[in-house]
Amino acid sequence: MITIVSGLPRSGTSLMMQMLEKGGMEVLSDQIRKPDENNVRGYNEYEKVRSLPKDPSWIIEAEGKVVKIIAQLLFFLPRKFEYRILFMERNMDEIIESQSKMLQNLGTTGAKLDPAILIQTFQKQMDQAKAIITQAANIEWIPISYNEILTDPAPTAEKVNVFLGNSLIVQDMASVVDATLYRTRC
Amino acid sequence: MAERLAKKVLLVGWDAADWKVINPLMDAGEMPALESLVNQGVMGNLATLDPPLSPMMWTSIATGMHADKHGILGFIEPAPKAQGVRPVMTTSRKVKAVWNILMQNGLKTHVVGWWPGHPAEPVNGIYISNHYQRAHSPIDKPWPLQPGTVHPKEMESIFDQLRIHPAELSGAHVQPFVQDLAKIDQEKDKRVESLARIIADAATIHNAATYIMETETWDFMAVYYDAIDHFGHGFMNFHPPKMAHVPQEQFDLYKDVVNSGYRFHDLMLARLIELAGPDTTIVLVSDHGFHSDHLRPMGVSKVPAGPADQHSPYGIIVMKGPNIQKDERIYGATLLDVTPTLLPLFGLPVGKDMDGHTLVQAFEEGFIPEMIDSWEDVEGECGMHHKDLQEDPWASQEAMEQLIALGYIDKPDENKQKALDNAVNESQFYLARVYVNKSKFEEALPILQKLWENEKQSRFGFQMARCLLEMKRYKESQAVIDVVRVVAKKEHKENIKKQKEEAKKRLEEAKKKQKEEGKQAKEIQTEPIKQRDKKQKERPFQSPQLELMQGRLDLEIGKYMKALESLEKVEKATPRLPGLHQQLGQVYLKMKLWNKAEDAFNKALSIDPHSAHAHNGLAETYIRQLRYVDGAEAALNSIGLLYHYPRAHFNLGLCLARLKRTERAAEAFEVCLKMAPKMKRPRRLLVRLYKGPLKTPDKAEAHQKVLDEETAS
Repeated sequence: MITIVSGLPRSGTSLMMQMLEKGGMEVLSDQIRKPDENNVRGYNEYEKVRSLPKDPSWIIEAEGKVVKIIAQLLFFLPRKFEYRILFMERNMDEIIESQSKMLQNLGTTGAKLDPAILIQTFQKQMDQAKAIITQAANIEWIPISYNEILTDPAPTAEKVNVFLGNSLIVQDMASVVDATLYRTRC
Repeated sequence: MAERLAKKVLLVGWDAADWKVINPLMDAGEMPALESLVNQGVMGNLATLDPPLSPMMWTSIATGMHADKHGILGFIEPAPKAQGVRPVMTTSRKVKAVWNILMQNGLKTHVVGWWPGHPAEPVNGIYISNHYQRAHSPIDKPWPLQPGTVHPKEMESIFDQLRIHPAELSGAHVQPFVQDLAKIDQEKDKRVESLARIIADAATIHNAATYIMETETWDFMAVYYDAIDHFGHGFMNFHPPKMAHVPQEQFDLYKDVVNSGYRFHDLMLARLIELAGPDTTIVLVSDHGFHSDHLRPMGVSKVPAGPADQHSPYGIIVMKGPNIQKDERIYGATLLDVTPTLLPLFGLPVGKDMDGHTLVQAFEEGFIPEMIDSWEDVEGECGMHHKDLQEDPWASQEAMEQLIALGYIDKPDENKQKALDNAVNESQFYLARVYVNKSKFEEALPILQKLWENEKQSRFGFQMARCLLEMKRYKESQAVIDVVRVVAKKEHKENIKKQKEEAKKRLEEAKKKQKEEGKQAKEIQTEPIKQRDKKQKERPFQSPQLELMQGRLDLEIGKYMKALESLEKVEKATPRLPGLHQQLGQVYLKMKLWNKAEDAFNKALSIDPHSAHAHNGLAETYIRQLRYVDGAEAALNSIGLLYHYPRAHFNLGLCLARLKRTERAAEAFEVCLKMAPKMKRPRRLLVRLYKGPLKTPDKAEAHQKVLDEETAS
């Protein structure tokens, strides 16, 4: 079984990865992307994920672990494995604002689109991703609200623990959340 | 709901069909099916749009909207998830097609082969995608239908069996197109192979259409055949009269292909008419024409979609059925008018957001269509793809760029990225041309500026200079023209270099092949090539289109002599260049040389009798000479060719006013103002007419109010 934390960039995927790690789950990450001002506690990412459409062979390394894969790449998951997906959801305006800040910090530019159209497009891509993973027989998934984690992390930690088979330390998971830090970072 | 005027409607699409080829064939009795439609119904030109690219055009035909609204921008689009490019899809169309509106109103619809038509839309009848007919594998290999080709899916196996593979055709099938088939070495000359493919594809589409008509009930059926366009691109250079650069031997072999292609379509049409039955309304249209005479270009531009240079600006329309006029000509139709004309046939209103108009002249007397704000606001099952499948591929691509920039997805490999970048640039260029076509120069300009900044391609700069010129930003336009001239020269040099390299490569390959085959190498004739190179070196580079624009710019800023100089230079080099004499006529008009202007416009018409601008130029010349009867006739000719031409309506109004036909004059001015509400002269003249002979002071007052408001602002 492979566990995946998914969603859009800046939807709380790094926070969920930290929660799972703290709760006792093994994380597939190479730490190539270092913590920075956008994510002071680190990204918990695995570089090979980015090339999933071209080369999915590495996915076997994620067996029994958790790996972060953005929603747009879920279409490329090899069918022969079983997956559980934690799908992060966050207010779309906040996501776009946060991505803009990150792009600014990275000194680069993103989509040349009106923010409203970008939101609409991302929303459609999220809907498509959810439709695909709902139909797939080898995938189970649950939505996780980033905003609810910030308000009160314990219920979400419990929900995740139940979904993943009651193998995690819920208290430790919840302790990761520093609402002030996340709120200020948007 | 208004009265339903048609029992059933069959819409047939013949890509690139052109009256210039059809008329001699009909006169010779070689297209009897089409002739029967023409005799029992109405016929006319169908003006195309710019850019004349088929997927954009057929979507405009099916929606009544320009591409900026319907969203199909060229032949390809970004594939989802940054996976390169793919052919344009039905999921990218932003608005309802006519069959969606009809289905929403409880009418049973079938669609076969429309472009773009993949994946098949879930209509209430059968939908066969435009990927259906293509044979992707040799006949001895599996040839499965792509997923999404047939709706409903359960009918896939039936339609799978109806396909014809090109390899199934025998010499007997191809011989009507190429009589001396035996003379062709098909190992070397692959044209017969491509011909067989075109014939098999068309026959496959026809099989699917006739199967549906034989076995299903229907209210509306649309069938699209792309073969005439393919015959044109492959074989129009061999069509009589012989073009100077075509070798006699090849001309003799392939000269009948185009005419035979039309005869083949007439045979298929005859069967469709028979199956449709006498009460069915039949509408036959093409999206653009295809140059078949002296206007055929010697070559096509070395740019994406360059073969579109061979397209001519007028397609065809024929309509026959109950409540349709008999044996009449209709004027001024554009392909945007097809859907707004089909809807009233079913008693349905036309969307105010559609860019086209109902061709009321095609209907029997007194017909006025009903209107609705927009069909897009009408809820209900309409047979479009589920909203999860619909997407704007260009916005999706931009969103993927954002994820790449954030470091969450790798860039596609170099080839895919290049293809993607090209697709994005092309779509933007086409969008800009759509805006130019709609005279929305302010919207086109920033797109073109961006493209021009990224890459100095003469075609981008050319359109940009045109926008600036139309916006009366003459200095900036001149500055861009100057740079375009340098860029075009460089491109020309590079093209020549490329051609030489390709010729050299072909020569070396031929030598190598001869050697491999153990034949004694023949003396290769290089002298003609050397002579051609010398000629190319001696001939100074000139871009006639650019010089035409220079002439137009000089004309606008009052430098008439300089304009004349530029244009006469072009005339020397390319005396039959379309548009040249039109421009010269304009200069002569400004210089008050009426006779010379008249000669120039007549010369323009001798080159292209379908030039609405030349007819309008002639109208202006006659007005200056106080020849109002001639002027009215010339303006009517112009409007007949291009209805959406405010200047021609104005000239018509002017002539009619001078001839004291004041009511008709007022009508013409009103039409002109509907198309160009900012024009002041027709409004002033209307005020005068309504105040004076027409005695309708309230209307005069309304127009005066607009004038006063404009002056105040």
